[in-house]
Amino acid sequence: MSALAKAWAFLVKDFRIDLSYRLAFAGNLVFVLFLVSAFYFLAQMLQGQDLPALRPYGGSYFPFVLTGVAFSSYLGVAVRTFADTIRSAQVMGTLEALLVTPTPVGQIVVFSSLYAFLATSLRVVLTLAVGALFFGVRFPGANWGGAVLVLALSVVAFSFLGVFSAAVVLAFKRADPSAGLVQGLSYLLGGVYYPVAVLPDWAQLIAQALPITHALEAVRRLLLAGASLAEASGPILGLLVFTAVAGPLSLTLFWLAVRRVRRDGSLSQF
Amino acid sequence: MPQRGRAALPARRRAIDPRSPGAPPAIELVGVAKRFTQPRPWAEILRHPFARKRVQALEGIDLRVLRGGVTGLLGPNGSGKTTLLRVLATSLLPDQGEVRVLGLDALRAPHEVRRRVGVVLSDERSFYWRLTGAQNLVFFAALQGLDRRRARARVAELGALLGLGGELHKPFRNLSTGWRHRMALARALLADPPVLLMDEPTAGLDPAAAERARRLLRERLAGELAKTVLVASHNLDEVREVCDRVALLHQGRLRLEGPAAEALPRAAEWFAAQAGEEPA
Repeated sequence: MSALAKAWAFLVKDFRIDLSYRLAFAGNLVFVLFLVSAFYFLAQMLQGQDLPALRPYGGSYFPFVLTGVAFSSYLGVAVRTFADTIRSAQVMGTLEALLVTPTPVGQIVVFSSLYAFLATSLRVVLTLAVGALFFGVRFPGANWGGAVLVLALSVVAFSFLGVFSAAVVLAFKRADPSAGLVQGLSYLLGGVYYPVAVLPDWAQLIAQALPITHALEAVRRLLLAGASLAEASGPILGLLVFTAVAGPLSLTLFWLAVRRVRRDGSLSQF
Repeated sequence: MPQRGRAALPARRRAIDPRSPGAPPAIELVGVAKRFTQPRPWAEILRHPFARKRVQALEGIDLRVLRGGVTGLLGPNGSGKTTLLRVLATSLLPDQGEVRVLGLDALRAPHEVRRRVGVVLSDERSFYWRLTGAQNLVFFAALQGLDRRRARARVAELGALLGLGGELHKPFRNLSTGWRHRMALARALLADPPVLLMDEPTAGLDPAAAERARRLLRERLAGELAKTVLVASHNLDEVREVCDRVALLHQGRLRLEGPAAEALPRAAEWFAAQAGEEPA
């Protein structure tokens, strides 16, 4: 049976479990409406002001923050979901049952996270749709194809942070403190709520080491300024460099963590 | 070749199944050893930061289980039974020794071994409680490599074999302990593996449910389906009822093994002696 069919089995299983918590499922959808509304009113406060830092993105705050909030949710899910998957399987007791099947551990971790990514994608679409339908946001000349491509690359880059975090959880049975640090720094310095250009020089330097800075810069250029992929090549290159460095490192650490728990017998401990 | 602890064992290699002495073994362990590092209190870590407190879970285990029949892995709590099953299930790497299942090296080809071994875990939490039994089984069938159509057919087949009936379609959280045990057995049988590893298969069951489980094991799994079953248990009566062969583990070492009729009285004596040595 193909890996695709196994991935589908994980998706169906996680969707059913999510759906069984009906209130939380509905609550997530309503939350998007509240969130977008809050940023709309914040943007209203800034309406009519000339903000130089926003000029490269069309000059208006609401589309800027809407894209920031929507796409940064991928970072949140990528950093957390792999580790959460491992942790909840350890606590629930399903981890050992999964790992005694012939499905490789890498597939189990990646497929366990698919639903979270799919749900996030729906939330991103919903966020943008609420912005467009209820609050009149338009994306004239947006390069949607390029944005999807950058998004795919961003998810891979963010996921390596998540794989690193999962390795820590697997080995030490505790949430990885560095995941919270990266997430916090990303929201503070990565340009989610305000352009990186407003930060002091030293903070802008740190921001360049964060994948979200490059991801949001590229997505905004493509969606808000209608740039081509070539015109957004700077931040895309930044994402590629991050991926090339973080990928092998996090995968090696994860492999070592799996080996460690198989050696010390702590697979199902938490 | 690992040698640790082997001096404590009789030198000859023992064949477990008397019915087919020439058959290649279903399970073969040679010189298997496993030590666990124990956590230490902070005061001790500060006094001896580089020291390690280790517990020998398995030592020099040599064991051959030929195909077919039920072998009981007997031993008191903490004797190494579950550790041995986990080594065979490939979820735990031994420190030393060789592990082969149906001739496959479990250390080099764990995925191949997992295709051929069904594991009945004693932990009820190993299911998704928000899903029904059938939904759980179809999911685990996919991980075993069955496509959706075959998975559903197999779940229905196992439902009939194990008498799961309408329980299959109830949320797992609403099932009694007995039904959960059967679901665990159904999960282990999804890929129709020739070898079954069962950890305390009747733990927590009432006497009637435990008897049904034993009958199922003896008549259906080992009888009709001709599976090779290795059952870890500390229950002498249970082992007497279902097992053809018995191996006794204590403090990680194999103390005795042989046909149930011969080995069980010795195992019973051994248990009685142990109980006599320990304060009430």
